[in-house]
Amino acid sequence: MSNDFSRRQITKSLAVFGAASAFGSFTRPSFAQNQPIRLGLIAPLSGSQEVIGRYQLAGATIAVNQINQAGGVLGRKIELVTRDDKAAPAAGVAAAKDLAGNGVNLMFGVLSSGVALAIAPTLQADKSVLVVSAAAANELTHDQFSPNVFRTADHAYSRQRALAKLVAADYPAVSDWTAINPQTAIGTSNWDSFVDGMLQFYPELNKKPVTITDAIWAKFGATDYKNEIVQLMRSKSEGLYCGVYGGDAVTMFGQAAAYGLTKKFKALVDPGSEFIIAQAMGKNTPPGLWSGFHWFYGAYKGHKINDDLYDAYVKATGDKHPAGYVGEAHTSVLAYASAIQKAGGTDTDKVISALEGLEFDSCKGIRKIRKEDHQAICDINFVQFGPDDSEQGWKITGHKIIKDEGLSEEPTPGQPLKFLYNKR
Amino acid sequence: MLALLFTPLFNGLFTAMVVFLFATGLTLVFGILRILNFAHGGFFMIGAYLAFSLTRLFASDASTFAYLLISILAGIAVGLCGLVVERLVFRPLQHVDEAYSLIATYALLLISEGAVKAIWGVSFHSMMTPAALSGAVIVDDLVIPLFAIFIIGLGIVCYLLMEWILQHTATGKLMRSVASDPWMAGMLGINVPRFYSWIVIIGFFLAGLAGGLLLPNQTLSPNLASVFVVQAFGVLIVGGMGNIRGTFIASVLLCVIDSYGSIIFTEVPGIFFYVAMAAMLLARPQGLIAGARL
Repeated sequence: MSNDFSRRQITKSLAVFGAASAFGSFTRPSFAQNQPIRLGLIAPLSGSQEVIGRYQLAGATIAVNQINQAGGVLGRKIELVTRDDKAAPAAGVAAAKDLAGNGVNLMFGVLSSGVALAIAPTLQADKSVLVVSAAAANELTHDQFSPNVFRTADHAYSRQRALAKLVAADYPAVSDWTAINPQTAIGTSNWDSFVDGMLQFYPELNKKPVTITDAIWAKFGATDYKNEIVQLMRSKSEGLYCGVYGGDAVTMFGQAAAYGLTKKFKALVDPGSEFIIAQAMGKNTPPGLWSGFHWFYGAYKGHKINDDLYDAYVKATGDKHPAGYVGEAHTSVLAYASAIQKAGGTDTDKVISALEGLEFDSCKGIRKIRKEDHQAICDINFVQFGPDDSEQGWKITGHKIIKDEGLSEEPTPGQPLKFLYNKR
Repeated sequence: MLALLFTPLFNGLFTAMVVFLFATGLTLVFGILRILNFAHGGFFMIGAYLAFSLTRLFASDASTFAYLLISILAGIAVGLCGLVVERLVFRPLQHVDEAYSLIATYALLLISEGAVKAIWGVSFHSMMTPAALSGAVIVDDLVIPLFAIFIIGLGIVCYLLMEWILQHTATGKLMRSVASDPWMAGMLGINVPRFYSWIVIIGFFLAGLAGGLLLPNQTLSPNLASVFVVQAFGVLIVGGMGNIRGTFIASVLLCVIDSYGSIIFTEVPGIFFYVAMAAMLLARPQGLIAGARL
C-alpha cells in the first residue's frame, strides 16, 4: 500500500473534517448550555435547629419549582443541591467546601451567624458566592466582610433598631428596659443594636430619656432560668427584651409563669422567635408579646410573590403559618435568578458584580442589595401574639411593617460597626 | 436579703433533683450491669413525649392527679421498651468488649431521636405545671415556686426510697450482691440474666417517669435527649461510678455550687458545674463514694 498522500488528498481531508466539525457544532449544543444551574443550600437539616432548616429547604424548593415552571433562567433549569451544616461552624465549612468541590459555586441559606462567619473567609479561595438567608450578625457586613458574601435578609442592627422604634412609639410610658440574653455573639449583637435604637428613638418620639438597665446573661441552651428570672423579678424595669429565643424562650417563659414574670412587665419583646413561642405555649403564650419576623405572610396579602409562596407552602405542607425563614430562602433563590440572568451565566465574578446593587422583588416587596457592603435593605416585620380560647390556643393580635428608612447603618465593610447612640 | 441568700440554694437544689431524677436510672443500670447507657436521654425524651401526648388526648394539663398518673404510665411504657432493648441489645453484647455496648447504646439514642422526629415532628411543644403546683410560696422577698418544692421533695423521697431498698431490704441485698459479683451470685442460685432484665426495665422505667415528671419544666423537642446528659454523666462520675448515694450527693454539690457561681459571676453562667466537677475529680479521682456498687 502506498503511503504517499498527495497535497490534494490532504486538503480534501481537511476540508471534510472542517465541514463535519462545523456541522456538528450546529446540531450538538455545547455541554454547559444543557446543564442545570446548580444552587447549593446550606442549612441545619439535622440537630437542634432542624426545625428552621426545614423551613429554609421548603422556601428554596418552592422558589426553584416556580422558576423552573416559568422556563428556568437563561433557558436552563435550576437544580437545588442541599448540604447539612448542623448549625455548627465546622460542619458548615465542610458543607461549603464539599459544594465547591462538586462544582457548585453559588450557595445560599445558613441560619447560624457562627456558621456564616466561619464560611466567609473560605469563599474567595474556592471562587464561591454565599447569599445569606438568615444569619443576622452585624460582623458579616462589617469587620468580617467578605466580597463573596451577600445578605438578602435584614440584619441585627436594622431589625433591633426597628424593634426599638416600634416600642418607643407604642409604649411611651415604658421608659425603663432590661433584658435576658443568651451569651452568644448574636445575643450581644441584638441587644447592643436594640439599645442603640432605644437611645435614639425613645427620646426622639417621647421627649424624655430612656433608662437601659444592665441585661441578665444566661448560658445558651440553659435548662434552668430560675436564677435569671428571680433577677428579672427584682428589676425595676417595666419593659423586657427577651433575647433568648426559640425553644430557650419557651423554656424560660414556662419556668417564669410561677413567678408572674409576664404580669410584671408592661411590654415584652423578642428579636426573632417568630411563631415558635406561640405554637409551643398555646393558651399560655405571654400576652402582648412582640416578635421579630424575617417575613410575615399576613402583612403582604395581595402581593403576588407573597401570595404564590404562601399558597405553595400550605399546599406542600398543610402548615398555615410559614415561618419567615421560608420567605428568606425563597428570596435568596430569586436574587440568584435575577443575578444570573443579568450576568448571563454562573461565573462567580460576574454573579458578584450582578448581585451588587441588585434591586429585585420578593415576598416582602422590593429589596436592594447595597454595592458597598452587600447588605439588602428591606422591610422589617413584627407580629404581636396573645393567648386565645381557640383550639390552637393563640392568636395574632397585631403586626407591623417597619420601612428601613434610617434604620440601617452607613456601609463600612471591613470596619467594626460603630453604634451612633449606644456607647456602652 | 433572704432572697439573695436562699434563692440560689433553692434553685440549685431544684436543678440537683432534676439531674438526680434523670440520672437515677442511668446509675442503676451502670451500677449493676456496668453499661453506660448513652440512650438513657433518648428514653427520657420518649417518656416526656408520651406523657405530653397522653395528657393532650385524655386529660387536662391542670390536673395534678392526671400529671402523676400519666408520668407513671409513661414510665411503664418506656420500661417495656427497656425489656425489648435488654433482650435484643444488652443481652447479646454482655460478653463482648464494653466498646460494643457503648456503640450500641449510642445507636439506640439515634434511633430514639429519629423515632421521635418521625412520630411527633421537629416542632417545639410545652406543657405548663398542673394548677395545684403552679403557684409560689413567698416568704419576705423569697419566692419559691410550688413546682420547685414538689420536685425537690420528690427527688429526696426517691433517694430515700432507693437507699432504704438497697440497704434495708432483701431485694436491695440481692441487687448489691449481683452488682459486686454476678458470677458468685449465679453460683448461689440467683437467676442473674432475669435479674438483669428487671434492672434494665426499672432503669428505663425511671427514665420514662423522669421524662413525664419533668415535662412542665422543659421545652419538648427532639433535642431533649441531650439536655441533661452531660450533667447526668458528670454526677455519675463524681459520685463514684454507679453509686446512688454518690450520685445524689454529687447532684446536690455540683448544682448548688453552679447556682451560687452563676449569681456571683454573672458573666460566666453555667461554668461552675464543670469547675466544681473538675475540682472534685482532682481531689477525689475515685469519686465521692468510692468502691461501693449501688
